[in-house]
Amino acid sequence: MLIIMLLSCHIQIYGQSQSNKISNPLEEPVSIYEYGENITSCETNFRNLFSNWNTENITNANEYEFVNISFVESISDSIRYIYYRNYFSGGEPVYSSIKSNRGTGFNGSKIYEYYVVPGYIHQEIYDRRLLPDKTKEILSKEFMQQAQKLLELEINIDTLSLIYYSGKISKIDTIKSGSDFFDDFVQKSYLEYNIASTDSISNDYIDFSITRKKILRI
Amino acid sequence: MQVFPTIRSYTDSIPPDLNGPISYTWSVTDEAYNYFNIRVWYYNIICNVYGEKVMGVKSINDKSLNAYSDCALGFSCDAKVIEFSFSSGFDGHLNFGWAWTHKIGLGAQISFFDNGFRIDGGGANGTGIEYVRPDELN
Repeated sequence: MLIIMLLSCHIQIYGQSQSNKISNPLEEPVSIYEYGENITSCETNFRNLFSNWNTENITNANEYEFVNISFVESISDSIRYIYYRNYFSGGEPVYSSIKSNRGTGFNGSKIYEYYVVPGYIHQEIYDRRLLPDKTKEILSKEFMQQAQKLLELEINIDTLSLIYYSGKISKIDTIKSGSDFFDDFVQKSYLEYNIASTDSISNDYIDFSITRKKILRI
Repeated sequence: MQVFPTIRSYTDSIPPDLNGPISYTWSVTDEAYNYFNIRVWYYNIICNVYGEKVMGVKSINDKSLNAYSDCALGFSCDAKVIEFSFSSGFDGHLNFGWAWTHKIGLGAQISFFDNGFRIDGGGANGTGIEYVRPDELN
């Protein structure tokens, strides 16, 4: 298994060219890791990523350059698996934030913008500089240090027990007016969630992060 | 002083609210902040339909559909809008589908296919299909 983490980039390519992305949106989407060279090994994914890293697919591709990829090791035992499992849930893995803007403008003009910005997944816990001033006042350095310790805690995935929470909450139905082609109909919507935790999850967490009945005001 | 008669056009005799540009806007948007008061995900799907009213008869001229999504490190969010069909005129219409999804971690992703859309990643999501007729423009 190739261990490499460059960017978590989930752009999809539709069809053979940029112009097809929006004009033929019903085409089967292809991952940026899979478009191009046929996948014959795990390294092929990254070669495809390199060749597809251009401004046609990634609007700000010029801001970041891939230097190289290298094969690190094969995971041969559970010790190395646990090591990487802890690495990717810790504070150091590179992640990406993504902005996307897609659609159709006037006279059928196409809109396609897709920005990828890499960074450390929990960077605000390690680097307070970009936090709002009020947040800095409330979240002490001691609090941040405790958060870092939690992130760096080594976990054995083989013995770890998790509590799973999942749910589907019905939201208020909307009655939509029909047309010449459709009768009136009821549009149903749901809020679905699937989460896992090493400990029980508080109602505050559910209210804040899932149902969002509570909002944090700083 | 010579007085010239006022030239009265045909449209002057029509009350102004029977003629003029009309539009319709549909949108869905949401956002969330983490404990650090940093926005972790945001989406905004907006559809505008433009038309005109002539002698009180409404018609559709043009449209724009846009889906914007934004997510911070450690989160994923996707929003898409797709035009199924559009025609202009007093019997025109716009039929479009929309979807949004977000979650903690990677993988929140929307794909459109022939038979509808697919939402990957298991995050919270919402979908819908809208049909806009000239009557809905104001």
